[in-house]
Amino acid sequence: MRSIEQQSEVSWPKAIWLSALYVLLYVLLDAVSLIHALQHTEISPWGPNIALMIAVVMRYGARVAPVTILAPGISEIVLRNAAPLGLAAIGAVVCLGCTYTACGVLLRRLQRNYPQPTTQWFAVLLAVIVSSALLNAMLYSAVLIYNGDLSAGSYLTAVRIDWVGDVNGIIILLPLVLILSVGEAGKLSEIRAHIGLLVLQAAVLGCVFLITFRNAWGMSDPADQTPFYLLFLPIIWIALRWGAGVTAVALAALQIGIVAFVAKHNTPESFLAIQVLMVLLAGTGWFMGISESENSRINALMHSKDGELSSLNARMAVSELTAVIGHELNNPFAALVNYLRSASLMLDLPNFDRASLQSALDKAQGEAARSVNVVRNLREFFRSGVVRRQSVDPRELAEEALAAMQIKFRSAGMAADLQVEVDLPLIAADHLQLSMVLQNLLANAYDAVCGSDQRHGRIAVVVTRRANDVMFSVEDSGPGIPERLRDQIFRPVTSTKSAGMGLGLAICRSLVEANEGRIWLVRSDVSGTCIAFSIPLGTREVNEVKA
Amino acid sequence: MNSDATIFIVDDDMAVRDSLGLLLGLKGFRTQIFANAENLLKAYNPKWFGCMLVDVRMPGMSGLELHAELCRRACDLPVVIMTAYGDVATARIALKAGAADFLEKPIDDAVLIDVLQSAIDAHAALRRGSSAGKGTQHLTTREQQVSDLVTAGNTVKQIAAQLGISPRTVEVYKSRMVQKLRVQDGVGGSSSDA
Repeated sequence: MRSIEQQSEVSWPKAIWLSALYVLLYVLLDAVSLIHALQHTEISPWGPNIALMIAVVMRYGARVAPVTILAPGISEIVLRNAAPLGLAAIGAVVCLGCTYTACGVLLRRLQRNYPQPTTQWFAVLLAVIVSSALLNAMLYSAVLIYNGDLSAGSYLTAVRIDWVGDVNGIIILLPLVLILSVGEAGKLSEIRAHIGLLVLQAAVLGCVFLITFRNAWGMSDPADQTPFYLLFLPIIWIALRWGAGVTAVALAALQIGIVAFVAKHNTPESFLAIQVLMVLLAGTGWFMGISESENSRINALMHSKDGELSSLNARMAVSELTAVIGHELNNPFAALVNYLRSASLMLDLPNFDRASLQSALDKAQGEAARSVNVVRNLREFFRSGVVRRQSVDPRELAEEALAAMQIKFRSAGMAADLQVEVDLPLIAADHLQLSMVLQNLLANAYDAVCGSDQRHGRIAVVVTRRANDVMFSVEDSGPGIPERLRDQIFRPVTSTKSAGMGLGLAICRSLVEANEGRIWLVRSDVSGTCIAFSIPLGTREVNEVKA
Repeated sequence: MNSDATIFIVDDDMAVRDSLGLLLGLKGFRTQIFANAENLLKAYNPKWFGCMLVDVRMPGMSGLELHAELCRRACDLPVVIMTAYGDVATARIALKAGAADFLEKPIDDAVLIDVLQSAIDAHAALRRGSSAGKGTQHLTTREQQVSDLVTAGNTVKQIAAQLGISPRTVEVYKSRMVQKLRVQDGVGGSSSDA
């Protein structure tokens, strides 16, 4: 089957060869399907050959119709010695061949709307199959009665058996073929990783199968009611764990087990009952398996979207960082360029002074080293989150950060206060990173106050010493963070602003945590917001250990 | 020519102000260096002549605040603003407030000399009390260059590459240029002297 399916452009000799193979397979399946057949007709409660026919039509389209329409006739002639142009053979061609080929063509059309198996697609598939099978059963049974193969009184029985058998055959095998062909191959690696679970499930399914059909092995009274519904449990378990692909294999294995070992111990009526239950079991298994496959596809999609989002986050973070990096680097570069330019100007002087030239070049070297340090510091942080701790004066840090934002504040008519406790100890931290955090918090405060149409917004930075750390808090008189967002403001992509990605606080948190500090929301209500972070004190020992 | 002109440099970064002093000294300018705005204000003398070269971002009083304070004190010294990371908003605020020019670090020395020289010339003209004082309404050398390149059909990026400045700065020059030209149009022939 698979080898046939993978070819889509077929040359003529190959087409003939493949057609012959198809007819052979069809006849073989038809032969094995003749279990508890009704009065020496083709009508049996199991129709795997029909599944093959529909699968081939769905795969290759109407161009295979001549072969699929004729095959039931050939089968009739080969298996039941029907006359080549007799009513039985022609009836099989017209009823089976035409109905199910048409069913296959219709399903092929419908499938275009469903590139992946979905529960909706399965419902459509089921509806088409059930109605085609009913149509065929009614037509074919009528033909057989007309032909004298069946007694007139057994029409309804024949319709029932044929209908159940075909639906059963199709529903168990067709989705297997379809799902395997759309490729649940992605599941293979997962299956390999959890092969133990799969073996356990197979064992449980086997056990339940043995218990369910125990009277077939003579282990109990044949009249004993078979608790068929036990089989639902392992099938549902498998469907929910693995999705449609593995469920397909399990259902097919179960059906083959029933046909091979159970059917011969059954009466035609009890076998039919089992086949009806198998249809229900298969339907349940399919719906669950397909919806599980759908879920995992959606999850995978969401994960890939997450990935896109985080790469976007990364880009946004980079753009926020370039501003800071630009500032850190451009000063040393500016000085470096000036010193070098001065050095070359000195060379042009008629009586240049060797000592001052040397001094300019030394200073240039110093500036180059300074810029290298900035870059190294940043690179190390980005590579491993490692921070370059140094002793930082909290007052200086706060003053600098505020100075950087002061222009914005004053031009918006805001007052920004800085309250720094006297005699603060030094902290062990990365100066650049903490300066980014403070500036970010100040920018948020600015946005909050600006967005609230306050005439005299107020922003305060307070730096205080605590037992083992120094706490920086940034407070604004803005409208506060909406209550629903308060517990997630430090997560990425949480934002109260219409512009921006809501990354600021997430970055702040990672920077503060990289410096072994903590950041938290102190309060947020209609009168304003206060966010604080703390950084451990930098004792001499700490510095030595961290350096 | 400007024997008594001094460049007053204010930058919190020691290396930057030191190197600027050295470079401008070699270029023949007299310089005076301040580590912050407060120090300059303490030393400020209305008789100063020349030009100021001021960094935007400084702890304490920022460059823009210093500029505003000098305006309040009726200081007529042209102020050139420098920044380590130029953003359009800051440049716009600075130029709107009447800064003579806006430069991004690292500054090309030819551009720097050019800007400082025209600022000093403008100051000299202002001090002479002649109508040339209105020269601030005329395009500076830099603006003229940008204007020429725009007229020649260059894109902002191309202009930035040719003049060795960032595209954002070109945008700032462009908008200021347009503003000045509009002012001239609006005033009509009254400023067409000189």
